[in-house]
Amino acid sequence: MSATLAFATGGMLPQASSFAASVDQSFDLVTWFAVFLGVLVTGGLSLLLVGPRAPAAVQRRRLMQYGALAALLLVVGFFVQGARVWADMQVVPRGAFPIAVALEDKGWSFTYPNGFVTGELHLPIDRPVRFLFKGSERAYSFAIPAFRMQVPVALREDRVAWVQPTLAGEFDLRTSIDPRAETSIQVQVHAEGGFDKWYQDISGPDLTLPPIELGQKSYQMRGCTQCHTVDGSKLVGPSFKGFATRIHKLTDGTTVEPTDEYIKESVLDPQAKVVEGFEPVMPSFRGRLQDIEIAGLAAYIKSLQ
Amino acid sequence: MKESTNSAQVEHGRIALGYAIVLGLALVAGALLALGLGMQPLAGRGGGASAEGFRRLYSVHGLLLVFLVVLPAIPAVLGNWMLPRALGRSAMALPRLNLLAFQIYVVGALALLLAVCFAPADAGWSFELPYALTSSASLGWSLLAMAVLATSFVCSSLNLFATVIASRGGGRTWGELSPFSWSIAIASLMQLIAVPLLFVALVLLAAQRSGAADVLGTGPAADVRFAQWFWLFGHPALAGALVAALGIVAEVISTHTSGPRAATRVEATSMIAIAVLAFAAAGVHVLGRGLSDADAAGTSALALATGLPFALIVLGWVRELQGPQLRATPALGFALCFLVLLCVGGMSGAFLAVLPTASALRETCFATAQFHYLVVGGTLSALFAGLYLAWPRWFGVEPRAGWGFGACALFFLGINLAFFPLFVLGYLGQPRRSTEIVAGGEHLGELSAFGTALVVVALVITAWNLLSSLLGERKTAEEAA
Ligand code: HEC
Repeated sequence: MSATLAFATGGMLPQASSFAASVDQSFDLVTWFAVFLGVLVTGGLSLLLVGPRAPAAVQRRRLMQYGALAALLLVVGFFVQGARVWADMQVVPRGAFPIAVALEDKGWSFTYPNGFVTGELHLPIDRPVRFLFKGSERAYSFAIPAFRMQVPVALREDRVAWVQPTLAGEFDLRTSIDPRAETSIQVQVHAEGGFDKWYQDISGPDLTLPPIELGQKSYQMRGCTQCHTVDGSKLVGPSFKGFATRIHKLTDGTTVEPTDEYIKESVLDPQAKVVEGFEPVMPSFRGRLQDIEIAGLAAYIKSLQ
Repeated sequence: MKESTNSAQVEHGRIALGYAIVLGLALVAGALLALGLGMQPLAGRGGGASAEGFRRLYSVHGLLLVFLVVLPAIPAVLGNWMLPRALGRSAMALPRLNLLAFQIYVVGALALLLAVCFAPADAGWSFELPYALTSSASLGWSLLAMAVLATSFVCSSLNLFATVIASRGGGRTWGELSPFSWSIAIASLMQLIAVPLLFVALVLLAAQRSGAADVLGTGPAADVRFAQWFWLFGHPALAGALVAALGIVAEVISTHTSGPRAATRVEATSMIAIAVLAFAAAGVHVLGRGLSDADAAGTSALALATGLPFALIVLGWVRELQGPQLRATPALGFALCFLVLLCVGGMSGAFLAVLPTASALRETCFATAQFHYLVVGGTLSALFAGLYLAWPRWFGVEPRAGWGFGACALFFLGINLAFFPLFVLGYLGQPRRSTEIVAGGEHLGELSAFGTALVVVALVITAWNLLSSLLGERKTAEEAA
């Protein structure tokens, strides 16, 4: 905010959104006046206490009138400045990037327009973002001090707010209404272009591709390659080479046919059937992959000779 | 009617002393709890109370200080001590009711003590929803104690208000009332209107919690609805405590200066304006929680406007203080302390009334700081100013001035050290009532805890200085005999 506080706190809180500056302006206006008044009152009182006393005749007659007028102008000034900034905050600009927010037992969940759900909040720089807060069985607040943004979300009530980040970096996101839910994470504001790249990554492949091609793209984009290969070499997980022509032995001694259903289950519920000789460490992709993409993956995996 | 009950028991001076004792004990307990609260974030990971314990700590701290200290402090202690004399009467208008009020207060204090010991509340003193609905603590005892205390406030206010009204017979007019009498009349009228609203809020909460009736509803706006009811009591009730504080400080200033008396008419009108605005702007506590835009703007404007009557009163005092002579006593010291704390608390209130800053700061400890400057710093400094003024009049002894000034300076320093850092922390986004301190704020937290400790020391010195002066008197009385 103001130079005063930035000075007092070593400038720890950046102005990271388009609101920050105008909220801080309101802040500054009130702060500087408070400082002025503080100096006036404390200084004046000290003078009164130690200084020479004025003779009764020299009373400042107009003190009351001028003082009252000044106070009135100030109050009106505070209000008008504040109301202007506030009005600005209420109107979501057209074309703002929409993100749905919910606070669940396991923490925050953010849903991006492509249906991707994650616990991390990634934001573009210099582009308005529209948050849709989903009301739930608990009231919470969504506060990003660096944005000067704090949105209280009432019980079972949806709410909309917007913000335009103006500074790349990581900022604290906190919630404070329900004392039981102290969930604080970092918001990542990507530098120019960084967000688009991230968003493309999570967006996944073009779903209109033919199944095998779609599956191949998905296999590359969804990070399966970290643990699986197509050339027969073992990583964390088994290779998919010759997947369709093998019988798959499981840790419980049973076997399973290489069907589409088995692949789908492996992707959505990997621990249901664990391949012999491997650790049950594969993450579930539930909520991240649509059925058509999973079908593509199945087609691709079965096509590998 | 006043002469019909002349039993020494109903004598208002004794009642005042009784209040002062209970209140003093509650004050010390509440202050020690505050010290514990201040230490919590510093204890950090590992040490310190659990989140559960912490919630109990701040709830109990708030309940004790608001209901046993802040609300009754000036009307009950100083009102009982000084009002009849200020009005030129020998007794209260309704002495029996006054005594009853005190008795109920003691019962309420005991009930609250039991609640604190055996069934501590954990939803803050203002019972925030939805937490107060889902909390597994048994809030019943606390609610009951609050209801008992509220009954006491109603009785006490009724008596004080009636006493002012009754005093106007025999040629005395409203215009002849001192600002202190005005303030007590206005403050007690505010309590008379506000406290019944607390009953409503308590009943709503109790019914909803017990499942007896679905009064608040579980709909989207239930918690805001309850908060509106609660603050329709809380905001004016606390403002009433401040109005009474204004009255006593006006009295102190006018007895210490030779300047032209500030126009009582302006002061009284300002106090009435404060009272009206306090009811009108109670919604400021739910600002940014689902009020419509028009309501939010209106509430913001009303809350800001509350500053105007305060400014008028302060300006009048400043003019008065410029007079040719000034008598320096601890009473004046505390009155000036009040003046500065009032200005800081009032100005910081503007941050919570201006819409954009309010939405950025709400639920942060900025609000805690603002509340404490006015409610703790303001009420207590006015109470002490009044005690130092009334003490010699009542007991015929002067508490030692040196210790008085020392405690005053320590109190002033302590309040500022305890609460100013919270403004900065709040700005940095430190949530209110959190056991963890925001990054970069550790030193501010330490400073605040240190300030709280200073306040505790100042309280102890003040109590000791006042009480020990009484012992001195007994000696001189014996010597005289
Ligand atoms: C963190 C490493 C990891 C990632 C990432 C991963 N998996 Fe796996 N996967 C494993 C492991 C380990 C196994 C073997 C244990 C098991 O069955 O759970 C496995 C097994 C499988 C199987 C059964 C293999 C067989 O031979 O029967 C399929 C199918 C599979 N994964 C598909 C995928 C797909 C598709 C992706 C990408 C969307 C993927 N996995 C991402 C670790 C991973």
